[in-house]
Amino acid sequence: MRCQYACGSDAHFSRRGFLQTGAGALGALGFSGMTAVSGAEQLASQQKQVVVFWLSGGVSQLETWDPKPGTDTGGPFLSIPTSVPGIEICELLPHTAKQAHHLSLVRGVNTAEDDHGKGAYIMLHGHRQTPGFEYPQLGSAFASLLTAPENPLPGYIHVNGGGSPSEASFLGPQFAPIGLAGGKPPANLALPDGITVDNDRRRRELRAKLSGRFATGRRQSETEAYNASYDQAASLLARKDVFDFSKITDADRERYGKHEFAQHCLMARQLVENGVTFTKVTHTNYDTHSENFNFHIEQLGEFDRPFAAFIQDLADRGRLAHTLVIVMCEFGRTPRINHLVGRDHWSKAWSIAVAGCGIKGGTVVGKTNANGTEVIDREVNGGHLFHTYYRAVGLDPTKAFWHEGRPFNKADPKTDSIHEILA
Amino acid sequence: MFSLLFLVAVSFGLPGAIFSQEQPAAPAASVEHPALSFARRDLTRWTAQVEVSVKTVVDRQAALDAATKAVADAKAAQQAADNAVVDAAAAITAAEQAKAAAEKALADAVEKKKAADAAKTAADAKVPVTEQGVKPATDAKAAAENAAALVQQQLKIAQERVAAIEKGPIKPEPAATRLLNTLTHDRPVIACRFDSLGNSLFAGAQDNSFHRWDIFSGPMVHQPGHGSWVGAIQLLPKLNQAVTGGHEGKLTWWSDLDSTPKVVRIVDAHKGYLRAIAVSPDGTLVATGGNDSMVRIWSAVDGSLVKELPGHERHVYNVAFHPSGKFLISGDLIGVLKQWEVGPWTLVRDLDAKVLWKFDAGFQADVGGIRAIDFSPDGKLLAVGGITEVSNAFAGVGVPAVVLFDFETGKQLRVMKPKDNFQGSVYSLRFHPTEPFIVAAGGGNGASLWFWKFEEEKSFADVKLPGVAYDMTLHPDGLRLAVAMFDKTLRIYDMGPTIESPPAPAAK
Repeated sequence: MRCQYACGSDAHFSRRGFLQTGAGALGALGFSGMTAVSGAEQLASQQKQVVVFWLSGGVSQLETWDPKPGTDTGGPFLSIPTSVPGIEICELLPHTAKQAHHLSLVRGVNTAEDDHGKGAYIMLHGHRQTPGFEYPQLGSAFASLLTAPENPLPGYIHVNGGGSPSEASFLGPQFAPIGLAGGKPPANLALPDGITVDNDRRRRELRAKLSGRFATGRRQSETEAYNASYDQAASLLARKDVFDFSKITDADRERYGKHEFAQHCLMARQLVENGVTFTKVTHTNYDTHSENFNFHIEQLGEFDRPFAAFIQDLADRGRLAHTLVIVMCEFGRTPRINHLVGRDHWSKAWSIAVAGCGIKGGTVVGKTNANGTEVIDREVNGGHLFHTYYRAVGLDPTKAFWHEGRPFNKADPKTDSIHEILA
Repeated sequence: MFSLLFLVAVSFGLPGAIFSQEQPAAPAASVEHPALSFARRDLTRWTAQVEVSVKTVVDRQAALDAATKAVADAKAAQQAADNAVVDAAAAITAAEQAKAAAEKALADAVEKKKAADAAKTAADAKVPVTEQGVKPATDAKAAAENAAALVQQQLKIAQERVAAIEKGPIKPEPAATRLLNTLTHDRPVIACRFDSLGNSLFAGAQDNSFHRWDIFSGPMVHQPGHGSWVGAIQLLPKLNQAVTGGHEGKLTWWSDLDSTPKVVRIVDAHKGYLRAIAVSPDGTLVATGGNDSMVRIWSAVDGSLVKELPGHERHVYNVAFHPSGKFLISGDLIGVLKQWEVGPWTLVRDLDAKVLWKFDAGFQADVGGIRAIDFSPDGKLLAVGGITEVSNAFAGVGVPAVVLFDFETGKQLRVMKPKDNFQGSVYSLRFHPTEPFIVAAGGGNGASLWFWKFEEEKSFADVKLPGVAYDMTLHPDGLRLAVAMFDKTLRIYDMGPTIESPPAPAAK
């Protein structure tokens, strides 16, 4: 099958150019993917990066960013003050509350889609699903637009989740996510038994030489993608230390927590520090049709401390300024509490939180009514959010992707960025 | 034009020209004097000229007449125009006067219309206002009639109950359980307890208040005393007080239970939900369990902390004193039961009720827990309730269950389930004080009361409820019970022998 590249995209050409030249260059440089390492470290301090915390199933806005204590919909939890006077969030997030000066809460989200799959599509693509066409996911899009050509690492890594090539759509498979299923490093990073480092180098050189000869007369997208996958693999192997999470200190593990999500947050921190452009961390599950409050105690009890520690660490290490952090999911949950003491799907009035690069911390935009059933001020949808994400990392969302001679909007042109929260 | 010029030239022209062009003819016989010829010619010419001049005069006169007439006509026209201007001005004046009169008439009419509209609006508004006055009065009358009917019905039931008991002892008949009375609230009700005399029904709801209904006179009293939902209630009969637990973690003592309850004290008992309260049989101790995974013992008299019992690894969902007063049982989210010895507060043993818990790997969450607990009156049996066989944690899909233990041996005797297919959970259970059965209440894809005999796994009677029941309390007569329900009601059911009576009307 022929690769569907995004012809016309500057970033795409830039990345492809790197990959095209990479095959020859690696051979000339003795195929030591290590040559890019020092450059990558340098890049890490300059590159715009993005981390998405995906709270799968749909976290309740009332138990997180937009509490309504004392109302018929508010549930049993109280709201607590945060590090920003006047801003209160749910008591289930006491650690996060101390990081509120880094956060911007978007309380007027209305995506009008209560189906898990369709809601997730809007939040991860910025558009409603179009039959017969796949927009690239946010991770693939940012991987293609923000990853420096010299960066040897995958542009998009999904911690505790899978990765499908279809997420990259026409951007090409090199921007598809690499999934760290179960929070484990990618498989086969170590050389097979019996293959020495030198043997490995020599066989790569041979392959690169043969591929180069083949490409002189018959270069096409398939061969480029084929070569690119080898180049990426080589680069990845050269940076396999990035996936060595065994060096995380006990003190950090204690500070974040010892459960899986806490470890995943530490992994995300390590990936960010090593220059991975886009990291997605999935925390599951929030689809609480039954016993919403008990389950939110449990799930947010896991989420709160490591997430807050992650934000604090990025801020302390000067990385938050160039790392956009987004906490989102497919939709919120119904203000009405059902007979199972659960909350169902609710996309009409819910919230997300963002922090870091390009974001004005300590802010709230949008407002819902007294019991949270509708947005009464500054309503936004997926389009607004995507405009905002792009602007936050310094990209122009009105500049379309081009694919097969057609423009494809990065964000819905009928919407605009949420300027109130942009720094 | 040429001939006219010629004529003028002849009349006033030069003699040479005349001679050259009109030479007189020479006399034929006798020569007439040339002068005569000239004279005759002159005569002829002058004659002609006279005619011309006369005609000219006539023409000029005609022209003068015409000019004069034109002047006259113009003057006449001028006069007519003057007259028309005057007439038009007069007409304008008249029209303006008419317009002013008409406008005034219009304004007057508009004002009259406004006044009429205002009068109509006032009249329109008055009708619904008066109607509004009728509706509450009508509703109040209907409610009063309803209440009167209810009282009549309850009187009849009481009379029949007295008559029946006077004939001999009566026992509850679970299969005949039927609705007696419905008390409504504006939020789902989540906890309830009868007082020791059965006069009042105390409740907690999805609000921050403590509620009391006088079950005879009906009115409900709401008293604030918590910062969150009130999910646990127990009575302190010897003190004539009650204790309530809130999801904010506070434990509140109440007095004046016969009228309007008043807060005696509030204690910060737990971090997170205070989920359960138990009172020791001698009424001196209050045990609580909560989301901080702690069990705490309090003095019922002064609210002081007696003992803190760590040990549970997860949220403590329930606590119960053994009827002997020697032991306390606490149960948690993951189905662990801990037996504590009252006094030294040492841990005696753990009992396993993990059948009521599941870690759902798909949802990455724990579901279940010890949602209900009670000892048999003789203390030989311990029953705990909840949900088992969970197939979908976040949709609450599982089977309601009661786990029965031989308390002396700690052996699990059986897991009891409804006889009919049902998906949901047990939320409350009680051993009947005199008869050998357990009654439980709960819900899920419906709602029900279930009745089990101790030796059977399947319930022997299932009584459908109109809404999920979060809590249940037995009336001290052993014949009635009340359930706290999602549909914002407290419902009182009669388990006594069937008495023919009309369906119970709802009462606020």
